[in-house]
Amino acid sequence: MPSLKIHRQYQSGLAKIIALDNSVFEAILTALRKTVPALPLDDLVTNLESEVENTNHDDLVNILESIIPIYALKKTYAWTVEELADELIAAVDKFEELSNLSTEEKERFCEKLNGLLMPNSFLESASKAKDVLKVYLLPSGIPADDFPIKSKVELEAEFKKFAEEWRVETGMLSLVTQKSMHQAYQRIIGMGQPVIPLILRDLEQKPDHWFWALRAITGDNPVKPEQRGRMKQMALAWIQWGKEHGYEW
Amino acid sequence: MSGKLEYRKILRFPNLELTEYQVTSEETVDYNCFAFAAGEEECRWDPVDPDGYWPDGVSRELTLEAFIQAYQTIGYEPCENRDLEPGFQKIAIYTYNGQPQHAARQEEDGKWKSKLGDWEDIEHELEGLENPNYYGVVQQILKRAIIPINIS
Repeated sequence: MPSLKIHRQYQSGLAKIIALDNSVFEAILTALRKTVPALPLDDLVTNLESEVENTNHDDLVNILESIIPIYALKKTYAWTVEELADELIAAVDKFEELSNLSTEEKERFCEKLNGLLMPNSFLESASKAKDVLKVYLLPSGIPADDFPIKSKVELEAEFKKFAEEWRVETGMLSLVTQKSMHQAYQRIIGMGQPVIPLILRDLEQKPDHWFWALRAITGDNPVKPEQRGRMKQMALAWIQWGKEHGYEW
Repeated sequence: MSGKLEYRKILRFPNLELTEYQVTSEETVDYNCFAFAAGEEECRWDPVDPDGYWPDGVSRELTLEAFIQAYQTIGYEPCENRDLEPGFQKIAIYTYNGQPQHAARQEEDGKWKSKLGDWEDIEHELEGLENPNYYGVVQQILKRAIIPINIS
């Protein structure tokens, strides 16, 4: 596993994430989930400014510039949240300005990383992530241009592999909450927005327990109360949602 | 439809091969064991999934109390034994660490039947599905009177 070093110009962004009030951070994540993926940074900030109270333009720019490469790193190395949190905290420890963080502050940082990485897929633009990576969190010993970005074929293969593993290992379970905690299912959630068409295609072929993942990735839920528990109706609701949001599969 | 489960499935429930059982349906995700026990095969009963069906007014929590209350909405009440009682239907709730994981219903001939997650329905003995890794053990039996249907 490569170790991280963090470019000095982004230290203040990370410091702001750590210091940010949890409720404001939650508001930022909620707003990001509603945002069209791969918007330019300025547009993202403009969108967020209208949704998030108690923060200013420069802080949002700073925070987003820090969030984008963190997300990209998780995708690039397929790290778990815990592994990424460990790496980032180790890297934060190396900052002169941040080396005196208390245990409590580090825990807050971990909590925010969890919120950031698990349900959110706001920036799946490989090119954007790659550009930011060049100037930001460079794993030592790896050339900046050598970040593997997953192709559509690779993404499909990964989805198929995780889905099969998840089905085999959780088929006997009766509760979706337990099925969705399986590592392979969580990895699919971690694939973020690009996996949505693959899930919708799978749903169209045969209803399955993808609603938890879709809710987590999109922050949305088109299922009406009277449709709850009815797999075919819920699948149709999400397929319709996908079409309305411009997804093709 | 009858027969035995695939070997990979049997591995999850080693007690099954030590007892009598037979497969009675195809695989489907349309319903789960909790719905099946309630006689419902068009939806999934699940208190902790926001998209799961759960009877109105019953706590959405993974506790035996919540499941008893859910089945009470369709006429079941706690009872002491799993034996066949003419005129009554019964449900058995399996728990693991106190949390409901599975449910089976008793057929008119006294045999038990349930749905294995997203897999098939099977007719089985209650002990056949007891398992420390998944369903746990039978913790609660419920029963309700069978309402006679008058055919004139």
